[in-house]
Amino acid sequence: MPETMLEVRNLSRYYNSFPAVDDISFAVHKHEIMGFLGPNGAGKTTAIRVILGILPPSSGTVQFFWDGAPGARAKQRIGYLPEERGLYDDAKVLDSLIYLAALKGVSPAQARERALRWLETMDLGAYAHHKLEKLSKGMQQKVQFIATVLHQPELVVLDEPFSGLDPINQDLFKNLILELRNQGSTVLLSAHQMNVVQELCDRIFLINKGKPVLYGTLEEIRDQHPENIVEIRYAEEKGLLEYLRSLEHVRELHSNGNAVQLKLNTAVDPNSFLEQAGRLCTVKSIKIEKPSLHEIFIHAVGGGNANEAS
Amino acid sequence: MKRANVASVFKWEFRKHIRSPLFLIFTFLVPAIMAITGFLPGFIIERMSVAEKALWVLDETGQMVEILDAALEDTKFKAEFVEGDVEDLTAQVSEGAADGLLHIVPASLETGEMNLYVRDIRDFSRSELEQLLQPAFTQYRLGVTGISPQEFTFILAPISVRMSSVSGEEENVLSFIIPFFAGMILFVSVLFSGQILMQSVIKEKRNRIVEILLSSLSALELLAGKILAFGALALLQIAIWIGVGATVASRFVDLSAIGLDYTQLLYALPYFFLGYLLLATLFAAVAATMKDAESGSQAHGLVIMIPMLPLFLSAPIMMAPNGVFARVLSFIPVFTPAAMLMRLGAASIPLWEVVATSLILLVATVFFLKLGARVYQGSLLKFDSAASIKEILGMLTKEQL
Repeated sequence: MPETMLEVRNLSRYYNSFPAVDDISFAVHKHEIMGFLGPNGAGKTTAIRVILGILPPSSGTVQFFWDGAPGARAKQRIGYLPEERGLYDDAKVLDSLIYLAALKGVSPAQARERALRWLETMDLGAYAHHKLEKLSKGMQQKVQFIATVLHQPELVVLDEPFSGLDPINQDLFKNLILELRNQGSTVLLSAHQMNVVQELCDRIFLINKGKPVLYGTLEEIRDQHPENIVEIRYAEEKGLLEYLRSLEHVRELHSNGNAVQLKLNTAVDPNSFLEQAGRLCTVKSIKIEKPSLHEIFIHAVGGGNANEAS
Repeated sequence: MKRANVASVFKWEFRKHIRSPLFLIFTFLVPAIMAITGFLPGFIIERMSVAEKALWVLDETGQMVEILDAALEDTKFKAEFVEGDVEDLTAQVSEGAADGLLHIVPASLETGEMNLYVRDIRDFSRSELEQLLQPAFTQYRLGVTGISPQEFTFILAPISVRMSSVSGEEENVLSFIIPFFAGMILFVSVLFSGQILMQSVIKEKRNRIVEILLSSLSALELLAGKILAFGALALLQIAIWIGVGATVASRFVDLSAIGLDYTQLLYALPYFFLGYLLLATLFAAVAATMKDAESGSQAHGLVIMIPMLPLFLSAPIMMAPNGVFARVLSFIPVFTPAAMLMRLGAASIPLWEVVATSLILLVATVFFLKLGARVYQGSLLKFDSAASIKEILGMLTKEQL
């Protein structure tokens, strides 16, 4: 049984009468990377702010279990990289890092030592005494990341850490997040890059318009998904397309030369489907697979965006 | 509230802003410019006025020669009595034979009007010459009317009222003026540090770092650290101003002989500290509701108008420091600091009033701190728009974290 680090219960947060977060419940296990997903305006940032104590909840509870037992929020044990990022652009990089670490209870000497080590790791050693405004956007994002983890937090909350990053830095951040988990930190990750989330996250919690939609491991979620992706390549078609069009559990049927792709509801028995399809064409290859997280995401939120006042 | 967090914010803000160009300019350059612009014109005029002027006097009456000769002796106007035609003489003046020609005609003795022809009108002070000629003409007229100079001196001898309190304290203008100016220095400094505080809050909101800060400490801790840091900057600034000012003043005035009433300065301290806290909270809360620096500057202008109001009404307060108007203003918390600082400079204020107004200010400051912290916390994360009045009222009525 995995140990719980954070438990959110029936959490709601209203802006006037608008429910930005509407009765969500989930838990984050120790040493896991938990994906916190949702379309723009779904309420993720608001929920994160409430979890971190930046905003008060309208109702519900947020409980931390630092050492097994329920405990206080302990901001010093949390690292946060917000979606709306920024640092002091008119201050020196090293000074800013030492200050932010001091707010997390790290001594100046220790913060300096760690910051310099991190800056070297990120190829920013030469910029330690430069003002932040002199650095490129990518460099500034690296500094932001350092500020988030310099105090070696047990829980790291990353809100859209990949936004605005080039592919090289995306890979770098991906590896850094994995390394955090491997070193014992717990990560709550909000991101829009579904391929990255699929690669990194152990479990996922998806919300839309403030309400919970999906929750579980990637496998569980894919299993719960009501459709499979089917691709059939054939040499000769003997009524296959007509048969597929007649099925009520088929969606998004695309025929292209001697190939056909479709989404098949899991209510249809795959064995009988294969048997029937095999009779109606000369099969060259046939593939039935679970949908990607990207497809599940699109299906779950219905392509619609909520309006969140955050 | 964690003191360590407040201390960290304090250190950061103090170190960051003490090196900022704005602080350095306002602390050193502005007073230097003010001193230069204050002293330079006087210095230049003094130097100009020392230059000698060759003044020809054409006295057609022949009555004023002796008197004027005595009146202009040892002045910069070197009088030379000449005779001849006015036009010829003015022509010679224009060629540089003299700097000016004073033409006295018989009617001048009665009307006091006479002509002065000068080579360069910008190089001659008419009023200065008039001041020198006035006693000379008065002396002439006294002679004509038969009043002796001694009688005249007796008639016009000025009166003087020397005031002292029954406790034996003597009136000392400087002892009043200096606490007043000290109060004004405190106030200017508070307003300046409040302005930097406001800009700092807006900047943190604009560059979004405030969200990172709030994930580490509470809004109240952030607010407290900032207010204390800018208060310390204000004190340092004042110390520099007073130190430099006293050093410079001691070259011209014997400060120990002024007999400063230091208890008045001591009374001023609570007004300074509490006034600063009240204003700083107001500045921070207002800044947090703003979207950008431009609207922040406008808001700053509006906010400082409230506590500055007594300064605009300084005349009635100074004329009647213990009058009803001054007293009423002193008991309205937002006006208390400025009103009391002025009154303390202008008169002896009963101790009970000092205590009562300080207490009222203390209670109001605590009240403002609580409300200000709510608005500050509630507004900080509103990045894309300024907080509306309705939203601010909502923040004031709800408990925050």
